[in-house]
Amino acid sequence: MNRVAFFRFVLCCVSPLLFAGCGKYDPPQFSLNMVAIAKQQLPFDQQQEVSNILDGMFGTPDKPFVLGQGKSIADSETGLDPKKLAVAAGPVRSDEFGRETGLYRRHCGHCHGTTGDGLGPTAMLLNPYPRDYRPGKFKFKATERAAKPTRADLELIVRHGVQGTAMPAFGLLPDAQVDALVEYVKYLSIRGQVELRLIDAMAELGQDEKLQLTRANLVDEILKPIVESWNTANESIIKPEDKPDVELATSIDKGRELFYGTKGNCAKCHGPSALGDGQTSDYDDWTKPVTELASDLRGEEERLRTDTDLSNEDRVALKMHVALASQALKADSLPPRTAQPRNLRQGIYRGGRRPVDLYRRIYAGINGMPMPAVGPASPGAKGTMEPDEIWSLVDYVLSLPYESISQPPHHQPATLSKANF
Amino acid sequence: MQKTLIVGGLMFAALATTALSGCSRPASAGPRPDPQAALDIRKRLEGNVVEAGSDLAAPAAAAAESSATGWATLKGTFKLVGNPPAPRQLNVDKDTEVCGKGAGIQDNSLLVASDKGIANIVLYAKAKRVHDSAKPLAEGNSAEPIVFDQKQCMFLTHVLACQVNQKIDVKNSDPIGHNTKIDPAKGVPFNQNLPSGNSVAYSPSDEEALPATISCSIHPWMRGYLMPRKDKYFAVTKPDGSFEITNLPAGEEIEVQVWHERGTGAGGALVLANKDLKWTNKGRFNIKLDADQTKDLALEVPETAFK
Repeated sequence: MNRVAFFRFVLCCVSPLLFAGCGKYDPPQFSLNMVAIAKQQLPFDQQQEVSNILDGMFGTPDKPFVLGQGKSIADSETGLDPKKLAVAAGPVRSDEFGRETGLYRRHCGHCHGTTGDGLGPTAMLLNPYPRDYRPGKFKFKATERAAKPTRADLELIVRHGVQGTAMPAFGLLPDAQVDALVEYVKYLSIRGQVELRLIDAMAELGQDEKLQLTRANLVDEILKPIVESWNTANESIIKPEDKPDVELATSIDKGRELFYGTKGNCAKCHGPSALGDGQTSDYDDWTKPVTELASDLRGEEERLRTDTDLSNEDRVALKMHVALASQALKADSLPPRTAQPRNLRQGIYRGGRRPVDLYRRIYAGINGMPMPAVGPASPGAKGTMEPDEIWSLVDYVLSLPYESISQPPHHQPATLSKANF
Repeated sequence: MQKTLIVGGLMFAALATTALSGCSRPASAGPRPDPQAALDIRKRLEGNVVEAGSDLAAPAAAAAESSATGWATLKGTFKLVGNPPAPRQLNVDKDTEVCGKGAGIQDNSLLVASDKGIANIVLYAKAKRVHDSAKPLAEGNSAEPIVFDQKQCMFLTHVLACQVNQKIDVKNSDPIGHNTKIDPAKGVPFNQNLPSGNSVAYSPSDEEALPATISCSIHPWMRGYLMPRKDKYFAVTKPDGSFEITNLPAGEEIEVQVWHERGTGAGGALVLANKDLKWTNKGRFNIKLDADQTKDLALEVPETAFK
């Protein structure tokens, strides 16, 4: 056999391999919230059960499902429209009329992830990280702190993006597509929150006890309160009282006093010059489970190394949890970053730059963040600031980017000329 | 010929690697769902299957339980065996003119008395029958509010157990500003700005399985815990390590959950190697009390139960 013939032979043998196995479509799967599972130390059979229940209640990324088939949308358990979900879900494609489906995977999934966990392939390159929908918490909305966003809030974010982050504006998408995407985000968020509740419910079970897979346990106890909170979001919109008729300079002065004083406490975190450098060691609510699990893991590893009295049984259990936790941290989380108070001198407002947006940020704080509320904690209660004081703070914050120290320094031609020639 | 074989072999290896890479399954964490089990659950939830067993069995079990009468008390003391772990270092770098004035700010995550009693261990019992004095509080009840105060950048109550819907007055007695952030897993979260001398009302909306963290975002060393339960079957150990839960139903199996903020179990569950009580790795034990009995437990906690 000469050399050429040998190479031909090898090529003939090997080239089919190049194509083998790549043709089969392996549908994407939802991931489990492994950080929450590792924190609650759920054994494998309970993880499997959570996975089965979620598949039963919500279907797969290609075939989303919502309970209440044959009922009207309003009467269904989730209040979600399966038709809209079908447009947003599944692989990216369009039919002969140009109708597109798979919108979520086309526009959102690469950052927010198939599961809506904010763990898409591009997520770790971004700062801030993309939102994880699963805890059901959203930052930029018109509603009370603990309430869900309204449909209009989510549409606004999709259409206009989030300034100062990687979230782009999808203003060119037709209304129906934005609508379908918002529905799908709601679906992923409800699914994610149900998953967290399920994990907690599993952890609460006693030894040898099994979760009864009844409507009462899964739908009435877990799903309904979550759906209810979405359905009532419109009732908790913050409607600010009219801005008092005060001269702007006076209002700004009053706002400055509140900002630096012990009433507003703003400078404590936003810093003595409002550069966002006052308190930078805290984490947001999406990151805390990760940092807590990491700290648990460090303790357990330490114990495995140092505790010589551990029984064999305990040692095996500890090792198994160390493996579960380190795998969860590696595969199901991003390196934790601290929450950064906003630099208020840049004039970049993530939740919108309208005065009413800033009013709501101050009134309700930012859900999931260290930023506290100054308005009442519950309807009818008393807040720690009056509406006119909040308006003054809004005026002061909006004036900050225009103060002379906020402007970038002018370049100095004299120095430049010396350096260059 | 040998050279050709080596080159050929290398080519084969290179091509095989190319062929196999890129075909890996999409990354998905955790076990994949079992389609048949998922379908069964779906049918059940859609109401296509008549639910048998659990619902029918429940009333019978309840009837059997309800025949029991009488009430009992569970009390006891937690004592540390060995030496308390070294206190943690706190980085008090803010508002130092107020924070920790006087006694200074000490790590209070694990308080052990001179007689080795352990404070701030939370216990709650899950019981089916509930005594009148332990009934859940209704929304908008007129119970006296509990004051949850902070002074010199410390929460004056480190661990607070209370009933759902109990009004709590979150207060700031410092000359500087604070904010108080409460993060329950199930209930409504809370994060309010607290100007000097002010107070804000809060009441937990749901019962929790383990205590919720209370923190101040301005002063990160400040930490407290809130344990809301529906009925009044809970206790927090006193500085001497003692606790008492009264009016527990006699004659039924009661599950008791035990927690400490530095417990090594999931979420801080306190795990003891107590064989008599069959203490689980979730920090729980079951107990059955007789009518009018006062069960006194002497509980020994090894230093390894804390992280």
